[in-house]
Amino acid sequence: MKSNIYTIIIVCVITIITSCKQDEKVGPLPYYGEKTVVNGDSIHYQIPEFKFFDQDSNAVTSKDMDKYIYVTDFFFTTCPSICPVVKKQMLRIYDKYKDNPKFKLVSHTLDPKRDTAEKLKKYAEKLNVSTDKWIFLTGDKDSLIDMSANYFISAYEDEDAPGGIDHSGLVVLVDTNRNVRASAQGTDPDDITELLSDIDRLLKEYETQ
Amino acid sequence: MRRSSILIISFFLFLACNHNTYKQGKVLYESNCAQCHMPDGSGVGDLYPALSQLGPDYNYSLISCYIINGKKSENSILEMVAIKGLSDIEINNIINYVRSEMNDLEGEVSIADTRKQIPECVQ
Repeated sequence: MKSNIYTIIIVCVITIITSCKQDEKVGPLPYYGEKTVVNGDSIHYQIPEFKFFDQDSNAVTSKDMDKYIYVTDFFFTTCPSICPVVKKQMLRIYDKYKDNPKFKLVSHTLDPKRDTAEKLKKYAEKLNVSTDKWIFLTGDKDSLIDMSANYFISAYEDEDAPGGIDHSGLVVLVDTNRNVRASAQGTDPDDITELLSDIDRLLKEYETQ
Repeated sequence: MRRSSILIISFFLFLACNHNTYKQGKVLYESNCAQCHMPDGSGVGDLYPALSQLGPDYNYSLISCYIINGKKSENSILEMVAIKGLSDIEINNIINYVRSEMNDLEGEVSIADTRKQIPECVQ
């Protein structure tokens, strides 16, 4: 009798655990940030509008991005610490979605003084990536640092940090509505593997619309 | 008691010596090179060149010059910084780690080769 009760409890616990896990992996991705209520509608957090310049010195605005979902990071070309490994992981994302017209990658420099458009263009060439698919943005330094916070990525100037800028290697997934939908540590290949399936899930949301 | 501990220590020393696949080279590679060239030597595009595909015809002694002087090629936008403070033996161990573990080649670059190469690296 007693063992029967234990069996039932165990089955219940397993059911709860597995059902929760499944819920996490199907359906729409969650939304990052706090909701605000505007005219009675609750609105998800949106990245503010932006205007930066790409590797060909062309202006790129948030409006240009609203046809695409994109993965974004912050770096600088001479960054000696985490940037190479983050770029290696970004390359994995690039390789998987380079032929998907709905998808882009966006890398922001945090060192616009050294990372001119010309330098970013060369950097992309050396990475062997197409800048139609993977955009490199530069602009006003303070705006870039502020923008990183809008993506929940922390970056700040720090004399003691390698290269003079301390920043996280977080990689963030944004949808066509400027909502942040997923993130991953760019230094962690397993985390990026999960992000790849998050990107698949987000792309599916657009297929069913 | 003392004898048995000596036996155990010598057993492990034996294991350590017998398993010498450029362990020091591996440790030094991981702390000095892996950040850019990646732990498996696969590099990142052409930005940080792969070291795992140098092949049998590559002159591995040249690696000592890159370690000592760093490297800036004309069309590259990034500069490899020099790695200071390594002895010739340590450099030799890194070279052989790259050569034997990453490129799967038999034999090794001798310390004599490396010692001959290093003075010629001076820019």
